[in-house]
Amino acid sequence: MDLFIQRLFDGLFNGAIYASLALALVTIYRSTGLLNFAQAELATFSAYVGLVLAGGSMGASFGGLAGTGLLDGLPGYPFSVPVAVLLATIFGMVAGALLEVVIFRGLERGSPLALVNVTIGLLIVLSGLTTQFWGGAARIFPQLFPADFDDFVWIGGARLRYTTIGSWATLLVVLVVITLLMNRTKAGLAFRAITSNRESARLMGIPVGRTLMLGWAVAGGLGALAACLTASVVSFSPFTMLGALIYALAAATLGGLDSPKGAIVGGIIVAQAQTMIPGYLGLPTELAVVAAVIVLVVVLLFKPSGLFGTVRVERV
Amino acid sequence: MPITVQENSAQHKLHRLIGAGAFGAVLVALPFILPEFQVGRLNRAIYLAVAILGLQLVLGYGGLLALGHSAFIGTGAFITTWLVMDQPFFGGDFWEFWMAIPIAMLVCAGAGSLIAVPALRIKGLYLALITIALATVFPGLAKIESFGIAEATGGVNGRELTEKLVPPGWAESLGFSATEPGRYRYFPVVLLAIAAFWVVNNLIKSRPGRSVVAIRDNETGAAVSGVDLTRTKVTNFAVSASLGGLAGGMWAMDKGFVAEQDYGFVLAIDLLVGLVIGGVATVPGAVVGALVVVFIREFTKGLEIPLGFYTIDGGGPLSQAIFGFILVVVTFFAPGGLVWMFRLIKSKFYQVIPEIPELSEPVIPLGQTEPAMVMS
Repeated sequence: MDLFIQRLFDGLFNGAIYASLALALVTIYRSTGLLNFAQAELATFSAYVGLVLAGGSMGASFGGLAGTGLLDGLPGYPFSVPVAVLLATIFGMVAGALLEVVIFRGLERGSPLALVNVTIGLLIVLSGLTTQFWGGAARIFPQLFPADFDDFVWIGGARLRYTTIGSWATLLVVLVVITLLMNRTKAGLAFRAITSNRESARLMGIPVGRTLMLGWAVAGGLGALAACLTASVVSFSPFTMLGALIYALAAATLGGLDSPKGAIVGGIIVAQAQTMIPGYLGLPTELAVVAAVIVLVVVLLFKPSGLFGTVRVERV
Repeated sequence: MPITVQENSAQHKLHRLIGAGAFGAVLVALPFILPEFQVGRLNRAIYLAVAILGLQLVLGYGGLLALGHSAFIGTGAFITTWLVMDQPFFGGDFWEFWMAIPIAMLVCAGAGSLIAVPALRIKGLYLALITIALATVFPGLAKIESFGIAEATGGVNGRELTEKLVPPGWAESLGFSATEPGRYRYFPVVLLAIAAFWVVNNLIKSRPGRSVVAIRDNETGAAVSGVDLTRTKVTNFAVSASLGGLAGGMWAMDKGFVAEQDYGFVLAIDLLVGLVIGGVATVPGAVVGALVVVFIREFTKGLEIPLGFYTIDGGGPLSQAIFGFILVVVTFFAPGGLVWMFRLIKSKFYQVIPEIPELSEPVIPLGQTEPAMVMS
């Protein structure tokens, strides 16, 4: 039993990361019908920006910025870690909104495949830029929550780490903010109208472009936050979030691509499967992923729109 | 004014003959004009073209977002390697490449039909995500220590095929040398590719291919018209996967080296990118797309643009960024792919007036139809 609780706790941290990334994917998918493969790379880029702002050691060329004194003029530089994370999140929001304005607004009528291709192109661009600026090596980011060896509480004979508690607390706060934004503000109402029926919303005079920008900003911010949380716990390289993206995609698929609730539940399930399956079946890690994929396929065979997704009725 | 010709007229046939002849001459001349390392890249582009052609069947013509064809390339490459390196051919010598590649294609066709079964039910982006998961998982599967898999595939380190395809004596007297094997290997690679393109081109113009397109355009309509949905989809997947297996076999034969990390997510993305850039649901698009993926990437690596304050140096990770940038720009200006754009431009200068097909049965004049045939 202790072991079970321990494994449950171990999976919780990844669950928070996958859930936030999946939520970011779902937010964009719901409003535009587009799957943003560049989500993880945008998040990675934002996290590195956060590191620069926190005054972290950078090394490579663009990182030289930290030593040039260019940033010294900023009031409060180097920022404390929570402030840097906040700024990175804002950076992610601005970058997400910019992507919508500069690229995706012009492609509104493009074929779905062309859109997928553009997001993959962006993935390649952002990953190249991140590696160019900061190098491909993994590095340790400053800790957001106490993440030392003895930073945990005992619950039911198992260790629950502060980082896990902190990540979930952060995620819950963000969820409350997003829910309030979507359900209590005019912009949120407009966003839900567009999600429901874009053409009707446009005819009703809702500024579609500007509202979609909001969706992209929320997604960009969520991704950046997820990347910052990941970076403050594990050693972080430009490719760390790409691995997480695969699991987040699985989580979003499992929960249903158009369901925010599904994204959270899917994130938790996928992360738990990731720790439980190798733990209990004694499988090597490579096979654990395969087992997870098989679980995903089986679930989709019985519920082709995911656990909480809208079932599409085809009219003949 | 554009030149217009009647389809299948003597003039049109002459134009097509000239076109085919010029294309054939270029194909034969290319390996002798290009330096050896460029021929190696060309070979790579050719087998990627075959794999993209396979993807065209499922994704372009079938309209199913299956993105995991890199796994079939990997399967084909590993099966070929395993047969050529480890398996005695009925107690005798080891397998030759020409014997191993058809087996690899068969295995991939089987695997493809297996993937087709969930694809019957799972649609759209959900299928895309599952197949992406497959592509991501595949390299991990190929290095599993048990069942002797890692031994056969070479595991993390990859495996060199010591049984290489080298020019035999008669070829050496023609000027091929063993120190430049790419030039010699170009010919089996290009012949296999021509065979694959010929088969697929005929396939999509015949009944099975038209059924696939009919299902893509309107599944219910196709079923009502008598298309067997399950059989058509499964067969289509099997053929598509076997082309991936063929590409993998050609890869093992040409490179003489296989490694699991080459057959993952990145390759799956390359295939998709090639398909979209070349042109969705076009046969020549597979070739154009493969050439773009291979050669643009090499082009960006050699790039150096001084901007005054900063020199863009393609040698580093920036080559990736430039490649991605080109990708976005091309998708912006040619959303249907380069082949569609080319056809659009060509139609401004050269038009073919289609032949009116002969009807096999006389048309019943309007008003004389039997009551049962009247559609509301």
